[in-house]
Amino acid sequence: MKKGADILIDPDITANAVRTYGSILYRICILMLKNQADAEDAVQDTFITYMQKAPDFKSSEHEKAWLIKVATNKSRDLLRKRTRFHDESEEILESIAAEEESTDALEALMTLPEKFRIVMMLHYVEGYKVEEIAKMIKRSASAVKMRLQKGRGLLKEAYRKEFVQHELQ
Amino acid sequence: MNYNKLKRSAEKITMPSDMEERIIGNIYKAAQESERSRIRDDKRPNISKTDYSQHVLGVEKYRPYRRNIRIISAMAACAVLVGTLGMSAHFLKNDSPSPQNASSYAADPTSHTQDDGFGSPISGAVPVFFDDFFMTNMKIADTVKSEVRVEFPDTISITDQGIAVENNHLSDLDENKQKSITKFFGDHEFTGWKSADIYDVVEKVSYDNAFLLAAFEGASHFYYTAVTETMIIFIEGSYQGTNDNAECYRSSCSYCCIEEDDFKKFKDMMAASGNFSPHLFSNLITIRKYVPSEGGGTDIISFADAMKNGSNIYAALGDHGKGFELGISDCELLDDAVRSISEKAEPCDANDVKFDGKGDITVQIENEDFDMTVTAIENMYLMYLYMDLKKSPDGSVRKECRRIYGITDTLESVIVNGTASNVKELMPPIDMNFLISHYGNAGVLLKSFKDNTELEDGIALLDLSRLLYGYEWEKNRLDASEVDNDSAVAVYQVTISHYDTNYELTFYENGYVRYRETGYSYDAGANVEKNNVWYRFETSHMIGNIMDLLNKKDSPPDEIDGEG
Repeated sequence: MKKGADILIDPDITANAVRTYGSILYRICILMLKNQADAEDAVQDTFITYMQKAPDFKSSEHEKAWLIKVATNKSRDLLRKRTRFHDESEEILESIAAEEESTDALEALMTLPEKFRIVMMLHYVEGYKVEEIAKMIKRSASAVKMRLQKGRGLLKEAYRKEFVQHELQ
Repeated sequence: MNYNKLKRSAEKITMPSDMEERIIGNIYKAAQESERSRIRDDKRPNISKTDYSQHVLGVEKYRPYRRNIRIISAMAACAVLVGTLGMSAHFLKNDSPSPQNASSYAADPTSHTQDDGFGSPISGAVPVFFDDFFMTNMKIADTVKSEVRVEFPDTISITDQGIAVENNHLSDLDENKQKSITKFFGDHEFTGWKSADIYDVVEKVSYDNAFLLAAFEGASHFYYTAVTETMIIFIEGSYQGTNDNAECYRSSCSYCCIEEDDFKKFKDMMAASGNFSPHLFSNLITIRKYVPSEGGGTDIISFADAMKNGSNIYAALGDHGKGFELGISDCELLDDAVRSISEKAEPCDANDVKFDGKGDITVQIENEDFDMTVTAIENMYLMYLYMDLKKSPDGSVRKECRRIYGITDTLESVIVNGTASNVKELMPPIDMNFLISHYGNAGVLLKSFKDNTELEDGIALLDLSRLLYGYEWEKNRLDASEVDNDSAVAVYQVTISHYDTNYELTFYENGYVRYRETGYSYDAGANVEKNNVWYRFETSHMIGNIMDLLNKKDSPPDEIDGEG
């Protein structure tokens, strides 16, 4: 790790990274934190770290994966530290709801515990493979598989209880 | 479940343009500030890097951690508490102080048990130390408790020595699978089964294409047989005790492959052997697995990995040396803590670390292969000590030491968060005496910082536990019908959220105390009340403890002057 907190990357480059990856990171952070202000803090801290650490990326994919890893760590830090917060899931879902399609699957996802939410998100939304997720969240591939497996079960259950039963009623 | 739909929905979440502008603006600000700091730094070559980084980071809403301030905040929280409850006591005019209780607490703060301590009102979950494989793959909660006599398929031979699998039914494992299995279960050769060839299965778990059978021999021995599509795993162990305090130890583990046809037979047999019904099984069991350490060169083993490797994980305070076991959720937090350490660590000489054991918080993992200790020393750094107990050819033992600045909040948050899930084990060792011993006369400090109202629930609760220590909670438990809700006016409340559960302790003006747990239930699909217990509380008891704490004298350390 580099000592101190010198700014090592040109802020213009960092600003470009914000424009390129900002939405992806924001999406991940908001699904983890369920609060827009916290998500903004986590994303901002991620890019500050990016600017300070100036990692040597091999490719744009490497850069993206690094940013996601840092963003998930920042989000976890926030999750650990906060003792109370305002759950803005409903507001978030309302803000993205499109007329032609409901957000019920996403709504169900947001009810899952954080550790399942993040692996489901990275796999099914961002399209990462199990091994890639394992590296990002520093867990073994088998642990990620287990979380995906259990996450799928929980998601189906949540979806069924929340929506299918309501529709039947 | 349509995952494409999920993907389409999630992708609609984008960063608002105003937020993007704000973040970019802050990045430029940080860069400018950094440049200004660099110039100042050049002019003042002796400026400390720590101060410098704190200054730069300060632009980004980042508040560098300072343990002194946090502890002082805790003191302030205590001051608020003292004021609130003291006034309550005054208005209520309850019984006179109980010096007996107070003095016993002061004399030996580590000696109480769950019957006489704070553990009673907040009786957290029984510590569960179950490995990932059983917790996740075997879905322990869906077990059945019924006597099922199991016979294994013919292809799995039953010998005088126990259950064995004939060689011709063993198939070669590819290297990756071997590694995966080894990671979970070790690399012991299969040596047979000491139990009877046919045995009574008292626990049975089914999860997709895997089964776990548990058999108990008398009161001290257990056997697990896990059968999956590709392998059979045998685990043998013993346990001591027959209640929630039971501790179980795995003494051997072996595995072998199973042919597809055999698995089908087994599956049919299990399907025919009875219905599965929910039964909680895991709380009584602790399995400590043994797995050879994974090669050399790993300088930091994550707590989660260490947990999988079958470690004995416990934490202790240096002051009292009282250990307590950590549950799964605590271990995950600890894993994060150690990961932070690995990212921020800067090697140092072990001689640089002043470690006297007083007031230090230590988390230790140990097993046959390694001994790892993470210690929060005083207020500014963590010491991470890893000792690989496998001796080198020259007989030396590998030893590493690192010193890390400014991340003690990580470990502390583990302790604080841990209280919510495992209050009765975690709280007793963390007491006001611990703080006082380092920060001198509590009375002076409380007075000095009484205006600081920054209150953190976790810490407040820890302090509260000290003040509630020694009360006979069970004797003062109230039946719900005895509680007059209408006259109950809350004067102080502490709430901690931990994962899906909120833990809440409320004090009422009329002398009631209510402990309540609420959380999300997947079965109910809503937040539900999990526990709700009322007590009558004599505030005189707490006043006695407060007075006792305030009378404790200690010399204030130098750090206070610097932080004040």
